Amino acid sequence: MRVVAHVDMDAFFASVEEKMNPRLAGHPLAVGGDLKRRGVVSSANYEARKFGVRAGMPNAEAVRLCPDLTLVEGNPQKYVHVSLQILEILKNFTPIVEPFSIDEAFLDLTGAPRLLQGTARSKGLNADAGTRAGAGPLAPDDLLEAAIPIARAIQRAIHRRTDLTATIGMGPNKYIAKMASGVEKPRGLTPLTQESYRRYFWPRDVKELWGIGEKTRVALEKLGITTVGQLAHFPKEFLTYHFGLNGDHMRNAALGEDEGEVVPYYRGVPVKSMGHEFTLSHDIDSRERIGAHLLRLSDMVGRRMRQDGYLGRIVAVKLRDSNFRTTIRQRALPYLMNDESLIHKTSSALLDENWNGRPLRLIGVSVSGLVASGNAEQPSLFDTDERRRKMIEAVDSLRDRFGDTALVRAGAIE
Amino acid sequence: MLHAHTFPKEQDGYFMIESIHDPIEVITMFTAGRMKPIRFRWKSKTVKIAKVTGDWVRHEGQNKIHYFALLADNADYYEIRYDSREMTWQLTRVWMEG
Repeated sequence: MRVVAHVDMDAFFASVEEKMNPRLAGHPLAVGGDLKRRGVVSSANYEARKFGVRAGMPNAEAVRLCPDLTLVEGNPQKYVHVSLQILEILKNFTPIVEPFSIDEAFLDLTGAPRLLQGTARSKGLNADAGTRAGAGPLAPDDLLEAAIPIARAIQRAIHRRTDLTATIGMGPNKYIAKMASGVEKPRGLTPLTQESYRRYFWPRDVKELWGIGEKTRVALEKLGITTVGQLAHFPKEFLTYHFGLNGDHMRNAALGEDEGEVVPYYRGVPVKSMGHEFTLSHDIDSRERIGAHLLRLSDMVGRRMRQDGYLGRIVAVKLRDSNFRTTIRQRALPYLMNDESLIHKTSSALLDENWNGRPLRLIGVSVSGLVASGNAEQPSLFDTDERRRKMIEAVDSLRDRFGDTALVRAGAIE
Repeated sequence: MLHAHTFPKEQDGYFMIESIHDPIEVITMFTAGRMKPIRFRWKSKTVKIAKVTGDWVRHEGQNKIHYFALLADNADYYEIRYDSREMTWQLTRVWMEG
């Protein structure tokens, strides 16, 4: 039996802005993308949420729903700084902390020194072995209950050090902990055993499950599955037949089963893909201008892959047209690379083959199938193109010293 | 150059946030390995800092830009930056009653 906690910062970006500028507090507030472009809301405080403002919504729609909304341009460096402060706080409770995103982390509290000491000892439990003295292993309920004071201490420590609030979900695995943190927000603390998870979620709509989007919900509905409980009881073979491996994952999710370990921050989580996307300031239908954006995006992706030491082989392009129809197309290359010219060449070909000529409002480029440069078993393109490698190294070296805007490709300038 | 981003309503008037890139002069205290701005001069006005509400760093190549979020003693909000290579200060954002 494990005790996993999922710490989820409440309205994180908006709360950081409120903390730094207290005059924003108490008013509807949203943090958006580039305000001169048509960005989307990345975080809204709870006053704004009362008006229906949600993350992922275009800025303009948020303002339409809430005319008194204060829209602040997001500042990633600010949030990363606070996120690292929070990581330091969490590390005081257990070294097994897995940062899951800028505002979420999983903690494995099973071996945390404070667990089963204090509260648990006072209940007559054997703190070292995780067992009730002379009475075998602790019941899941006891273990979770013993972890509640730790979760409260985490919430207090975060608030004391950063003035921000966090919601914590707890369970015997990461999936249940993550689902538990969504039960009550903000400042929530919800422990769920596997049994109480099933009791709470089985009557609910499958769309409440983490990882199930609208398309999957519709596909499940066609099979007659509308609740989490129905999904849990559906034969595994049928789900695998219809959804492949994902069918198995969905069923495990419904059952509250998850074998995934909390991967400590110092071990690092393997990166699966790297990408960037822009929402354009206005819809564009000029191939030349779209090409300039693709080049800039490809340059950013290639640079980031080299900085973080990755090679990849699958290039994808994401296009969203003026009707909000999104197309994602990808192509596998026969070699590993992190060269922006190849990323750009491939993404341009994907654009030409798949763009219907409608004005675009968003363009994105990503590379997946990543392997760490040092672990690549297959040859990369650089193994055969020494001159190109040296040129890119020279450009990277200049950018390392003077910043990414020190050298910009002429074709990327609009 | 000023860019007005938002005009949220307040009971007794309006707030307004502006992006600015004006050079400023800053009196700073260095304490326990940290910088703490005390007051700054912007145009001909001296702003006394009541509280540093946040700080963060942005890297531009090897250069470090230090940012500070500040509340003035009249409760106006400012963001200022220190360019460690150029050794210059700039006012980057202001949030004041309009």
